[in-house]
Amino acid sequence: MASEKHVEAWGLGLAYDGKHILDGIDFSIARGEIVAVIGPSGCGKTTFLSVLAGILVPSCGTVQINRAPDQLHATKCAYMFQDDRLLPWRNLLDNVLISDEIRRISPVRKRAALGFLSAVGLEGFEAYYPHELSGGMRKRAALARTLFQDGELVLLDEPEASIDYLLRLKLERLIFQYVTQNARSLIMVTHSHDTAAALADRIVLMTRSPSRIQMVFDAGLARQYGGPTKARHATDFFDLTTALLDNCLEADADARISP
Amino acid sequence: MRASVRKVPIWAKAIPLVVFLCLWEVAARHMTRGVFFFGSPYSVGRYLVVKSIDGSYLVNLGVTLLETTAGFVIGNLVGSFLGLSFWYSPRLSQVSRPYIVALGSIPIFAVSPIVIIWFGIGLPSKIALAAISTMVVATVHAFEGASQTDPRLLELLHSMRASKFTAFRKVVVPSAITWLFAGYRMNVAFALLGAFIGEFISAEAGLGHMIIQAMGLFNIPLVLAGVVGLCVISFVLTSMVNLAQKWLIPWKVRRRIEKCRPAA
Repeated sequence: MASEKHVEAWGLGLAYDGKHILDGIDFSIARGEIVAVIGPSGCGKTTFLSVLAGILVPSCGTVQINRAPDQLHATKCAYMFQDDRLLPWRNLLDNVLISDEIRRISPVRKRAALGFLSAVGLEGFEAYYPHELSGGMRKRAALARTLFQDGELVLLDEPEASIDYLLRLKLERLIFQYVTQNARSLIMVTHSHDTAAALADRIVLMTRSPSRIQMVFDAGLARQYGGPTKARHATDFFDLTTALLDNCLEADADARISP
Repeated sequence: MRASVRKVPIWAKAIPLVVFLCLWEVAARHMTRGVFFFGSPYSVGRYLVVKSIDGSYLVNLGVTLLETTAGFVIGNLVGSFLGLSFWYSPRLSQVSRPYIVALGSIPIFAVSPIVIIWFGIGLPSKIALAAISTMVVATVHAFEGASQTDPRLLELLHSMRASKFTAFRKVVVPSAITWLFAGYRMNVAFALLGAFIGEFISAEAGLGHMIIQAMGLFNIPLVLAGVVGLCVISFVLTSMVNLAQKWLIPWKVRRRIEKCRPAA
C-alpha cells in the first residue's frame, strides 16, 4: 500500500451551540488506506466524517486534501450517511444513478449501477421505490449509490447497521475489493468491532464528546490474509477484537452502567 | 393482522344522491308553487335536455369550461413558479410574502370590475379573474412544499457537490409536488369562482351569464341547470388534476395501493 498522504487534518475542532464536539483532532489517511473510526455513541464520529466530507465547517484546525489546503470541495468524495437518504420519488436504479446526473455524465452508467445493486444483493429490485423495501435493503441501496459515485475518498457511516451477519460479511468483501481494486481511500465509522478489525488497515478509537483520538490500532488483517472473511479466522483477529473491547471499556469507564 | 379497506362501489356512492333527488321531487310537487320556488329534478332535467338540444347550454358550458381551465392553468403555473422561486431566493421571499398575503386577503369580487375594465367583457377578463383567484393558493402551497424539503436530502446532494439549481431540480421540486397538487385541487373551486364572478358581472356567454339571465326571469330550474353545469366542470377539472397526480407522483400512488392491499 502506498504511503502518500491523501487527507490530513490538524487540530480539528468544532463547537455547536456553545458545545464542543470535536476537540483538536489530528488525523491522516494514506491513499488507498482503510481506516475505521470507533467510539462511544454520540462522541462525534459522524460529525468528524461530515467535516471531512466538507458538509460541516470546522471551528478551528485545517484539513488538507492531496497536501493542498481548501481542496475539500474540489475533491471527489462519496459519503454514505448513517440513514439511507434515498430519494422517495426515485426507484432504486435512479437513486443510484443520481451522482452521474449531477456530474452530467451522459449517457449515465446504467450497467455499472445495476452491477453495484446486484453486488449488494438487490438484483431484481431496481424498479422498486424506497418505501417498498426494508430498512436493511435501503441501507444496501445507499451503499451501492455511494460506491457507484466513484469517489477518491469514500466515507461510510455505519454501513453494517441493520444488515444481517452473513450479508455483512459479503458487503465487507465488496468494500474491500472496491477499495483495493480502485485504489480508493476509505474512512468508515462503525460500532462493530469485528467489522473494523476484519476490514481496516488502522482503527481509530475516539473519546467521549468533546471528541479526541484516544488510540490508534494498526490492523491490516484483510490485506495480510487476503480478504476480510479470511481475516476473521486468524488468531490476530481475536487478539485485535479483544484489545479493542478492553480499550473501549476502559475509555468508557465513566459512562459504564453499573449492574 | 392489518385491516383491509374495501372500495365502495359506484352504485353505493349514488344512493344518497338518488334519495335526495326523490325527496326533492316529491316535496316540490306537493308544495304550493314548489317547482317555481325550488325547481325539481324533473324540471331541471327537462331544461338540461331542451337547452342541450338547441345548443345554448353546451355553448355556455364550453365557454365557462374554457375560461376556468385557462385561468386555472395560468394561475397555477405562475403561482407555482413564484412559490418555488421564493425557496430559491429567500430575500425575494421576504420582500414578496407580505404582498402575496395582502393579495390573498382581497375578495376576488372587489377587483373583478377593474379586471373587466382592463380586459373587456370577453374571455380574457374571465381568464384573468380565474388566474388571479388561483395564484395566491398556488404560490403559498408551492412555497410551503419547497420549505418542507427534507434538509437531509439537500445535505446528500451537497455532499455530491451538486449546485443549488441542481438541488432545486432534483430534490426541492419533487418534494414540493404533493403540496402543489393539494393546492391545485383547492384551486379548481377558486378558478371556477373567478370565472363565474366575471360572467356574473358582465359577459356575453357562459354559465354565470346564463344563470343571471335565468334569475331575472325567476326561472329557478334553469338556474339549477346552470349549477349542475358548474358541478360538471368542477368534476372534470378535479379528475384531470387527479390523473395528472397519478402520472407525476407514481410513488405515492403505489404506496396507497400497498396500503389498500387486503391482508393475507
